[in-house]
Amino acid sequence: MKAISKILVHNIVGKASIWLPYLWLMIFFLAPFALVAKLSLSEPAIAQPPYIPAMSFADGPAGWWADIKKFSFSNYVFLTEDSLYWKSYLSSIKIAFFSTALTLLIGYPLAYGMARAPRTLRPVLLMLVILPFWTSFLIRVYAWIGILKKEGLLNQFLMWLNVISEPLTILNTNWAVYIGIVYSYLPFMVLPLYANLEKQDYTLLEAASDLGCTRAQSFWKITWPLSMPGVIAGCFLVFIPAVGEFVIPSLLGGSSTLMIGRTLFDEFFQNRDWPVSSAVAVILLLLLIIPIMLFQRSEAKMREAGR
Amino acid sequence: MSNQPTPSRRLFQPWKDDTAVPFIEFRNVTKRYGAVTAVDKLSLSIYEREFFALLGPSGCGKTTLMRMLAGFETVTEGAIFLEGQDLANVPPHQRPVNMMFQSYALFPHMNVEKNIGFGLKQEGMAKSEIDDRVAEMLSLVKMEEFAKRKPDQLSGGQKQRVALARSLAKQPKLLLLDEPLGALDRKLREETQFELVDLQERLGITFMIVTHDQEEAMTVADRIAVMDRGRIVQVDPPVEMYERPNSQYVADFLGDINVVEAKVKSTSKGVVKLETESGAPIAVKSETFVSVGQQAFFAVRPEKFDITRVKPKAKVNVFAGEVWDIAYLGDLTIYKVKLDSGEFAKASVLNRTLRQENPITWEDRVYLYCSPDAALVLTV
Repeated sequence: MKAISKILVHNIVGKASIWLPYLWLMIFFLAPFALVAKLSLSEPAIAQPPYIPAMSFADGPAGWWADIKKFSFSNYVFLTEDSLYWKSYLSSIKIAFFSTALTLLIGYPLAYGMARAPRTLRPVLLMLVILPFWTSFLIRVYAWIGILKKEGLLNQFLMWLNVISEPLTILNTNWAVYIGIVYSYLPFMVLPLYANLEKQDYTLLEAASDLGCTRAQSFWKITWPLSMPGVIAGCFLVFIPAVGEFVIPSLLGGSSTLMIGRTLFDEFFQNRDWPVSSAVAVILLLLLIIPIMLFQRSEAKMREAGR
Repeated sequence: MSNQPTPSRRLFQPWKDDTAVPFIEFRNVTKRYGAVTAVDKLSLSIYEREFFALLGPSGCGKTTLMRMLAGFETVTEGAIFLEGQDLANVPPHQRPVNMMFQSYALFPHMNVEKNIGFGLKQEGMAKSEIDDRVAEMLSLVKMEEFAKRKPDQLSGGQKQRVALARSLAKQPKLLLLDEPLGALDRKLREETQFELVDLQERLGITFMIVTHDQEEAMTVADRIAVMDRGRIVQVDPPVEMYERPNSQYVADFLGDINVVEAKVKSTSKGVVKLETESGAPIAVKSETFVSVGQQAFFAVRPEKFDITRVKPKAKVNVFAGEVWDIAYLGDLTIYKVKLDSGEFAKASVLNRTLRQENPITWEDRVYLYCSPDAALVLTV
């Protein structure tokens, strides 16, 4: 009897451990997404909230079908009519792409240095990478205003060095956005790279040098290809959130900095056009799902290869 | 390529030839890591086409010695010469030396073919030539069917073969093998040992193997160097090493040995007479230099003892005792005998017949005898 109940409990716990993540996803991802999707199909209105619901539970099953037939895709059509939207998407992707490349360029040597550092020093270095997370993201981005503005620390420093005679305008340009994104997302690049590089077998490099490779050749033929999973993971971890980034462009970017996160915010709170901004969000998600799926596929491939 | 042992191997003893030029020469090589001395003023000559084994317990410096030859470790003092060239300023990727790593170190992102061809591609060899050489190497290690596999799709033995093929592909002048068979199971290891010997003979490349397995060293090597704490204790061919060890350390490292402390009574005509503490007379045919009155060690390998119930007629080298333990190993039976002096001795007997009438058993009173030309006198 005891054994049976044990098996039963075991079964339930086992099932729950599989279903819990799905449940989590349903409640915190799918349900809000469904609401946003529904909202994107409604008509805007001067009301509180500012739209006419496209569907209502009160209508009952018979009414639902009528509601579905009334769904309007006019908000999506509107997105194609105003160039602001596709320009924002494009510019977001461009900014995210170049910031990801920059983050990789800076993050890879950093992670490499950490992985090659003496074993006793590595936890300290790792701590230093994680340390910025102890302060609010918002405050850290805000601090960059003080550094980048005309009479900010960076300009003062460069003038003191006599590198420049006139202060540079960095704040409120795309440059500031790049700096902000690279700074904020660097740990997301460094951590997966470090995890990968640190566990690479050093004897492989000895074998490569034994077979005629210089150190640089060993790096490009052995270390770099073997670090690909880390590079891919790091790039996606930076690229995906960077596309939808809102705080950095609105604090550091200029009026000409177009990013979809900002457009979405303006649409929602300035224009109070909830249906259109919901449509913007839905398209953004669909755009991001492509790289996420690519990411997942490469992960699965790696797992298969690593078996 | 015949399977007959080549006559050159029978007569292969360049270390006895004073005019032979060493292929590799370690001259007073010292390697220190901080305060730790891994290799201590070591000098050693290895000859072309030789299969040389470095044998010793872990931490004796044998791997460091090999890694210095490959160029992965620098020499603190002294110098290493390869064909008369000082290797000090030659980086590992320019040495005509290849190494087979203990962990095999196969590149996990390349298939077998790419792994074997890696060094050749690095050399800038033409694609068609690489393909030919890789095919040749694959057939050499009998791995043709696995050319497209990735290392993680291979068994331990297959990986070992690929690693060997990769290290041979560049046709190095010297192949270093770092515990090459350590990860294989016993049967496969024995088989592979003989294959290695054949391969070395066929290719005519100098092989240097590092191992802690004495059987492996004795199976494959022309000469063995036994190391202890950064120094070489003895360098000799396997037979000499086993039958004429120069110290208890070597005698004990290679096989098993019984050692009794004794005092030298007389030396004449190549016969050393000794007496143990309990007064047992000992005679040994030995060229070891000892002087009368000196303390020395009488040493006998277990298989050199005759074990009988009847007291032997001989007047020397007879030890009486009681059978304390018996280990039946199939081919051998090992008797552990508690001697009347209180010490233990081991004697082993080859089991040449299926059944023995009235075999020696526990608590039997027995006599161990060893002829004077089968025992050793050791001074250290």
